[in-house]
Amino acid sequence: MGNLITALQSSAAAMQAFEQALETVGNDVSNSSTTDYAAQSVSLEALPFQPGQGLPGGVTVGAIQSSRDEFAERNVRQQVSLLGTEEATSQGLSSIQTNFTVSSDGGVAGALNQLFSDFSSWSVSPTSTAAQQTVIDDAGQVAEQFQEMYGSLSQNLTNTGQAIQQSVSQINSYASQLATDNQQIQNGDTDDAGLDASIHSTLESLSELTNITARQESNGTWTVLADGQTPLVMGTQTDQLSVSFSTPATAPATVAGGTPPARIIDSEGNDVTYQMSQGELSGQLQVYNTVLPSLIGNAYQQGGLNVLAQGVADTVNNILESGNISDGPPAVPGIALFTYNAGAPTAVASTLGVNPAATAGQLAAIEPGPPEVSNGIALQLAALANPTTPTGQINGYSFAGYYGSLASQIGEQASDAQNQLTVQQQTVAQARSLRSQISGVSLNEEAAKLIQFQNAYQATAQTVNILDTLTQDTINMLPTTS
Amino acid sequence: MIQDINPSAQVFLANVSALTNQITQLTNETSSGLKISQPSDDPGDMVTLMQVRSELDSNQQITRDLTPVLSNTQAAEQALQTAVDLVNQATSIGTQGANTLTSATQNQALAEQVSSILQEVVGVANTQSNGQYLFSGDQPQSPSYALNSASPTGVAALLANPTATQQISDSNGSTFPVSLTAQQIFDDQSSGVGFAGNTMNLDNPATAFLTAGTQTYTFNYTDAGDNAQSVSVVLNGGVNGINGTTVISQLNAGLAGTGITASINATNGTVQFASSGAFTVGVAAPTAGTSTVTAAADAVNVAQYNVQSAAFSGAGNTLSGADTFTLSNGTDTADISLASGTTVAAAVNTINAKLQAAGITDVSALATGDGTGISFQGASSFSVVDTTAGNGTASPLFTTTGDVAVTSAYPGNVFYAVNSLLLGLQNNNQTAIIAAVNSLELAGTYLNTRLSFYGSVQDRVQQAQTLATQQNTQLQTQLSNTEDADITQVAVQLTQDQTNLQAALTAESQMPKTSLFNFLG
Repeated sequence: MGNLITALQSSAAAMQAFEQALETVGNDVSNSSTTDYAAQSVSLEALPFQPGQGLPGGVTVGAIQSSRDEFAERNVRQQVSLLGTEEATSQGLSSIQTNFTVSSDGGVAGALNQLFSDFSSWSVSPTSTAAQQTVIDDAGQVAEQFQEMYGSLSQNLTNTGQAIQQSVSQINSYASQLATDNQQIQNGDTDDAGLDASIHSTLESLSELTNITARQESNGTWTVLADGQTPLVMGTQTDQLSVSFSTPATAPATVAGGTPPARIIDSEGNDVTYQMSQGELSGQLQVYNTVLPSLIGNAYQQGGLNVLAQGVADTVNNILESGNISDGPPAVPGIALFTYNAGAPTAVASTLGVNPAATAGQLAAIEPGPPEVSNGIALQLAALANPTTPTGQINGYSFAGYYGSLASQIGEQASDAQNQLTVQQQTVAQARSLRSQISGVSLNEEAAKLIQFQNAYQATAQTVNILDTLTQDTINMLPTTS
Repeated sequence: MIQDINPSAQVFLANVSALTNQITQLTNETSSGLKISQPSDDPGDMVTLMQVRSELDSNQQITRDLTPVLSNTQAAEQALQTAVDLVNQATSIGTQGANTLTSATQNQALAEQVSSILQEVVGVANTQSNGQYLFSGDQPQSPSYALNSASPTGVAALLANPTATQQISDSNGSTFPVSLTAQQIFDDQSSGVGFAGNTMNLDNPATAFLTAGTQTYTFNYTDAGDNAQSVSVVLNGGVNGINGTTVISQLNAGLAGTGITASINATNGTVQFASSGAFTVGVAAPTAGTSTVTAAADAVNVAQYNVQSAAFSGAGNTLSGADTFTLSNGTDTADISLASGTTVAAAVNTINAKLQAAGITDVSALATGDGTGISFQGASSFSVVDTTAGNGTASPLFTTTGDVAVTSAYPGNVFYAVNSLLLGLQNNNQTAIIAAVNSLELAGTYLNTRLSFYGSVQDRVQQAQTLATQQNTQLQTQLSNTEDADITQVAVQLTQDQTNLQAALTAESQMPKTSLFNFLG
């Protein structure tokens, strides 16, 4: 009789173990599509079988095992950081390069070509006020195109600045979320698969914004550092980052009126911009501090577009001012065609305009010489379309060529970023695939386990049923006292 | 571990995304025909693309600019051919008039024909094309000449200091002149012209001059108020003599403020003087050492019209007889009288005062370098008629046949030749008619040289057009190679990519999507 009772106890324990195993399988199946959920498994452990000592044997459930692999997680985060860099860079450059009209005679280059054609046409009729008016009108178009392009690029700068602020704000938000999760862990919630999934999801989102190092402490909480140096999360504490649009004291502005760079400042006021070497924030900083200033300038450089605008204006003005409007006597010297704010090197393109005094009949076509050439100035200006001397060249390029070099520089970066983005998307997909193979939920496996544990449960239940019958029969066999 | 959530799905999607992007790019190329629609499509070709497009635009504009130039040149050539025909007609008429059998009445009739020809020649000089006067040079909105019977040339110049300095550029950036002024064509005077480029060369490129000696240069020039001035510069050779550089240095020091500058002629190494105004130079013999010039008498001002040297003679170089003459620049005329015994210096002052009073500011009189005569120099054409000539007055200023001297000032002047014929016919002056016929022949020859100028310009313009057309083709080809899509290649690639995409999607769709759960009862 005693053996029967022991067997019943052993079977009951087995049923509890199988029930828990089935519950784990059910949990895996339910979360098979949950982001960053790692499959769990139970181990069944044998109980000691020593009937003499009242140990009936059987099975019990050991610790629940997570299939999460931190190496795979770290690899995904690293690749996601790189993907973030390429996404932000590619997006910024794609937007910037739309400002370069290259497929037709439009934009700045088209307006310049038209102006040079006008100069050529004027050289045929140097005294024609209609030809001069056309020159003036199209000079206005040149100025307008420069202003338009500068305005559009400035809007890019503004948008990128806002994106940087949003990224930093998002980083701080994720850091706060992780600190809250750490608090939950410190409160004892250490085996919550849902919390674990949430933490890893947050870490992955954070790594998309910037390069982080995440380490799980012995108490189960997570410490997160930016670039392995600047603490973002330590226990329940967060160090908030901020954005500063200013020039650092160690590198004062060298160009008057230039836009200051964007800098990332930690909670102690240190400049940690250089640590943001990966992630979307890195790409945004690259666009804000390097790419756009190469075109519209900042506190440290004039910017190619301003160089081009000033080159065009100065060259045209110098040539016109070297000529005469009329021979007189006295000879009437030429006047400038373009004006711009000479006091702000980074605002040349945005302030470029046509000299109000330059009206039809007031453009100097006469090259005084000797020998004098009545349309010599117009011919010199027309030759700017294809200059063979340093006059009318920037860094050895014609004005059109220099514009092309700016477009080439942006196009090269955009092309590289796009190519790297494509590669990185595949790399991230592979990293995530690898992680899924390690820690993802296999429905087939779970189904097999389900059947296995169901059968085991049913078999044990049947054993209990038989034991119950045997026990009943045994009880019935006992002699009655009446 | 085999997963039911396909672990390759993300890789598959990434690959599909890359394929889709490529198909989008190819579709854009097909629809636009361009392989470059943004800088990242081909960054390496951006500079080339922009430069080629700029050069193409410029070249196309040059092509357009050359068309009216050729048209004007052809019109000018046609007009000049008409002028040549008119001069030939006048010559023929003059030949008739020179015949001693032709009566005065007949000459009057011929004069009417010549008058008509002169009018037509003036009309040719004022030929218009596309609303512009072809021979008005840099002032194409104004006519050049009008008839003026009071002028020795029969016409009045309507433009002050006409110039034709306009040039046209070809596709290589080479420029060339395309026109002449009516003055250059019909009213040319090779003498009595020229402040511009007024230079004088003295020779001797020796290396050591005036050792222990001096040499005096005398410069006569007009100041800003058109007053005759004179300055002497004494070169000092010192003990060891001086070289050419020191000669120039000493000369320029002495010439400060005169507007005259001395330099070494880069071509022949001689001493050279230049000024934007009238001047003459006289050089005395050195006191010792080698002269800075070997032949002082060879000093010739290439732009002067010297009067007869014999007019002034004797001690003090005085005028041996009274003389009266008129000087005209085509617009204004000065009547000038010089009394017998007038010195060269006094004559110069009198003449310049009269010229100023008559409003003739572009002609000046100066003493010649040796001080024995007068040099007339003008920034524009002028003529001198010595009315003393033929009156029997002794020693006239401009030779005893002053009219001939005047004639020599217009060796190729079409207006003068035709007007001379007109006057000769009107006056029934056989001598004048014969001289006019000679002048007409000279003028005809001169016109033909001007005609050849326009012929050569036409050739040059046509060559420029050919060059521009060739370069247009070359640049178009280069542009096309740079930015145009190879549609055949794009179409093949597009088809291939679409097939790949379709195959990938089909394969993915046929992947098993069931798990064991689907088979559980």
